[in-house]
Amino acid sequence: MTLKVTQLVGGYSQIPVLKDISFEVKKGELVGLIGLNGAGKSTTINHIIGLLTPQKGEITINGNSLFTNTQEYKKSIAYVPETPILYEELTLKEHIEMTIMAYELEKTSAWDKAQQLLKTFRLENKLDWFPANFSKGMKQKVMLVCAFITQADLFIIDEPFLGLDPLATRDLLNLIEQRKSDGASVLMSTHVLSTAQEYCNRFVLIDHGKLKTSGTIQELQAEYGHPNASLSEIYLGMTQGDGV
Amino acid sequence: MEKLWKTRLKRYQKMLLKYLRYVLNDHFIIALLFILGAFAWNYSNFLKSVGLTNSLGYTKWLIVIGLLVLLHLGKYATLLEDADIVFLVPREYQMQSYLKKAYWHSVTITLGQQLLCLIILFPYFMIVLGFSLFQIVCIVLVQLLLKTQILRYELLAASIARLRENVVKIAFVWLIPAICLSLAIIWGWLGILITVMYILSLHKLEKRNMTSTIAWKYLIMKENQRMLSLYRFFNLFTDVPFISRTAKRRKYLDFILPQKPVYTFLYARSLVRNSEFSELWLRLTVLGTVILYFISNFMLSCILALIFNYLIGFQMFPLEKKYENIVFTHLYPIEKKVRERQFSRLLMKILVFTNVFFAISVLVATKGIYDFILMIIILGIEDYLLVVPYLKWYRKKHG
Repeated sequence: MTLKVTQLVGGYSQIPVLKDISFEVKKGELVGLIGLNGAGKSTTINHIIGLLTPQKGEITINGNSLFTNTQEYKKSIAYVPETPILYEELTLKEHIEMTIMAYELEKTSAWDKAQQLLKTFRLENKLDWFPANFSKGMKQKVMLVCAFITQADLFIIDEPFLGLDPLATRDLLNLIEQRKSDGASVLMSTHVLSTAQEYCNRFVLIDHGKLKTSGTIQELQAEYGHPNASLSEIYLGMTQGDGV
Repeated sequence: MEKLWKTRLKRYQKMLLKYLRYVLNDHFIIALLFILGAFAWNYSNFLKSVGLTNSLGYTKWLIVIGLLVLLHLGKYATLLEDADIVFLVPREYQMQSYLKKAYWHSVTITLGQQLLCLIILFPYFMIVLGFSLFQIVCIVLVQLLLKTQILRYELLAASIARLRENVVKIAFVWLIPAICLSLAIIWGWLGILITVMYILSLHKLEKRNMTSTIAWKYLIMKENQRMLSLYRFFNLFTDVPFISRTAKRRKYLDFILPQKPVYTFLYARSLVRNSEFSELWLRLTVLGTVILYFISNFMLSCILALIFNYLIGFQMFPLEKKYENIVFTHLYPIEKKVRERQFSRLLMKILVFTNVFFAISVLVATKGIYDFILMIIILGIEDYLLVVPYLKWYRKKHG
C-alpha cells in the first residue's frame, strides 16, 4: 500500500474545504481524482504534498507521515503541478541537475533517464535554454521530465492533459504505465473523463469537499445502476443529485 | 472626475506611506542621521573655510546647471493607469478637470521640494558667492515660477500634439529655463522679466492651440515611467512586486557558478543571471570603493565602509525568500535549516568579496598597511554579525 488518506479535514483557513475524505492509492495503481472546479481536488493534493496541514485526519505514504518522517515522506513524492512552475534563472539542464541534487539521485543513471525522457518529449536540443520562456506545453514537459527522473513511489499529477499535444499525451500515458509496472503508484486529477476512464484503475469522486464515492469503473457503474454508463455520465449524475 | 482624482490620490498616498515604512526602517534612520549629520558638518565647514569669493567665474554656470537639474526634480503626477485608456475614454471631454487637479497637486508638492533645496543652498549663495538678498529672491522666484511652468507644459502637452515633439520640448523645458536662470543670476530683475514673458507665451500657446482631446498613450507612458522610477527607489529597500526583471543567460559567467550544493547552486544563478539583487550589490560595491579611494581619514573610511557593507548585506536578505512561492522549494526533501545554512555561506562569500575591494581602496588612499589590516578585521566582524545574529533575527521577524 502506498498512499493512505484517512478522514482528512482541511483547507486554507479555519473553515474546512475538505470534509472527512478517505481513500487509498495502492502499489502499481493509477487513481483518478475527479471533481468539478472548486470541488477540492487541488486542496486534497496540496494536503498530500504537504503544503497544507490537515486539521484532522492523517495522510501516510508507505506508513510515513509528514510529521513522523519528513525527509522520507518528501522523497517518496514526485509532483507535476497543473500550471508549470519553473525557476526563472535556471536552464533546462540546471533544472534537471537541481532535481538530481535535491533528491540525492545517482547522477549517471538519473541523467540516462533524463536523456531518454528529453528525447521522448523532444526537448533534447533545448538543454541550455531557460524553460521559463517556453510555451505552456513545453513547460509542462519539463515538469514531467523533472518528476519522472526521481525514484518516487507516488506520482501526483495535477490535470496533465490540458496543454499537452496528442503525441505528448500518449507518451505521458506510456510513461505512467511503465512506472506502474515498476511498482509506483499514481494519483492524477483531471477533467478529461474519457481518457481517465480508459486509463485509470480506480476513481475517487469528490464534490463540495466531500467524498462522493470511489472504486473501479465497474463498481461505480454498479453503484449508479447503469452497467454501461460512462464515467462522465456517472459523475454528472452523481453531482447533480440524482443517482445515488 | 474630481472624485476619481481624490480616490486615486488617496490610494497613491497610501501606497507611498506603505513603502515609506520600509524605507524608514529603524536601521536606515540611524544610518540616515549619520549621513545627514556628516553632511551638515561638512557643509558648515566648507562654508567657513571657503569664505567669500567674488570672482564667480565658471561657478556661475555650474549653479545654472545645478538649478536646472533641480528644476526637473519631481514630475507631473497624473496617477493614470493602463486600463484608463479603455475605461475613461468615454469621458475624455471631462478629463481636463481631472488633469488640472493633478497639476495643482504636483505644483504644491514640487514647490515644497524646490523650496527646501533652495533653503539649503541659501547660505551658500549668501556666504560663499556673496549674492545680495535681492538677487537671491530673484533666483528663488524664477526657480519656483519655472517649476510651475514646466509642470504646466506637461499638462498642455497632453492636449497639444506639437508640444510632444522633442525639439520643442527641449527648447521649452531646458533651453528657455536655462536662459531665465542665467539672467536671474547675472541681472536679477531681467531673469524675472524673461520668465514672465515665458509664462505669457505659454499662456498664449494654450489659448491658440488647446484641444479637448487627450494623448492617452503619452500620458500613461509618462506616468508609468514616473511610477517605475519611484518603485525602483523603493526597491532599494524592499521587494516591489511591480518590478520584475527577466533573467539573462550570461553564459560567459558560467565559470564562476558553483555546481553544488543545491541551494547555493540556485541562489548563485539567481545573482548572476538576474539583476534584481546583484545590480544593487555591484553598484554599492563600486560606489563604496570609489568613495573610499577619495577619503584619507581612516575613521571616516571605517564608518562609510561599515554603512556600505551593512546596506549590501541587508539588501541581500530577501533573496533567501525569493523562491518561497515556488512549490518545489517546499517539496524537495531538504530541511529548511540546510537551505538557510547554504544561503548564509553564500552571503558571507559575497560580503568578503566586496570587503576586499573596500580594503584595497583604503590601502591605496591612506597608504597604511595597518589601516588595510584593521579594515579587513572590522569588516569581517561586521560580516559575521550580519550573517549570523542579524540574519537570524531577520528570519524570525519575517517568518
